[in-house]
Amino acid sequence: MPHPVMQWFYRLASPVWFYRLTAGWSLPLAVSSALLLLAGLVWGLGAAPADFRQGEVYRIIYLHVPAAALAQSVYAVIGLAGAVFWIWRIKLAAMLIEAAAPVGLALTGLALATGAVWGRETWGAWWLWRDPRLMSTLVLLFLYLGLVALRRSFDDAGKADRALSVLAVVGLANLPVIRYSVEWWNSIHQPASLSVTGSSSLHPSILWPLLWCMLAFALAMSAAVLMRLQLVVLRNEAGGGRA
Amino acid sequence: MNWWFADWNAFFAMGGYGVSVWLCVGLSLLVLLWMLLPPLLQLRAARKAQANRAAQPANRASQQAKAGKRP
Repeated sequence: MPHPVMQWFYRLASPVWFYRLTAGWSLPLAVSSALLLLAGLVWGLGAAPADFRQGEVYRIIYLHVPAAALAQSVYAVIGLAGAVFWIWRIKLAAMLIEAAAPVGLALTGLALATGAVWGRETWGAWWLWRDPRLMSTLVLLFLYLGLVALRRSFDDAGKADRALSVLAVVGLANLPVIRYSVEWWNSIHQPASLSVTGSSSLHPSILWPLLWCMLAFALAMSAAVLMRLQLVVLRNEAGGGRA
Repeated sequence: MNWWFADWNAFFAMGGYGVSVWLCVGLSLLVLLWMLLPPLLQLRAARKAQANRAAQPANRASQQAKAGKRP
């Protein structure tokens, strides 16, 4: 008799079991993310104080930072799913890559677009080709584009899953490059103001609405990935089966 | 929580950066809407189609029973 955790893991490998387990989760997640985002934007855009150096334009961080952080988190999940598919051939992991890639693509595009607007106001340029943070994030965008294009280019879902898992795992190497690019190389992009382990350099009156907005974005991302994953499972069950 | 701005005009002007800040807000809302709304609608349609597929054999069986045929 396997350990209960392993039992749960084996059961999770079944797309139908996963679909039944999560069928009612997506709408509450989406609604709560919308409410949290509304409160976070009112807090961040209207109640948080102005930055003493950048003035009011810094308020773009309430959109740019959550988008950029979650774009990388989604890829970390995709890479992990790729490894799981490689090792255990769990179909749900391959379905997760397929479902999460468009969401990651949208978040990375949003991070680059809001960053460009912020850069125009603070650095005087929309884009800097020599900046390592910008370039490594652009590589992340191309990785997401590659995942989406690769899935669409295969008729055979089994072959597509294998190709997607390889690209997903290989692309993981870009995440530490994005994270440490501002420390390893000479970058105009400011270093991380937030840290999971250390203290934050942001004042609490700016930090708390930012964390609130990040939570709202995280819930929206979870709802979007979950709905897309449920769609992939339903389509798979309806006849677009995997090898 | 205190309101930072003196009035609505100052809030929308954002210290002269209003276009940039509100452009980013608009872009973000559009992207979030794109992330959530189409899969929500597609999922509802897919669930409806699945329910119809599940109901079809039962309907056929009841019609056949009415016509005196063996399902």
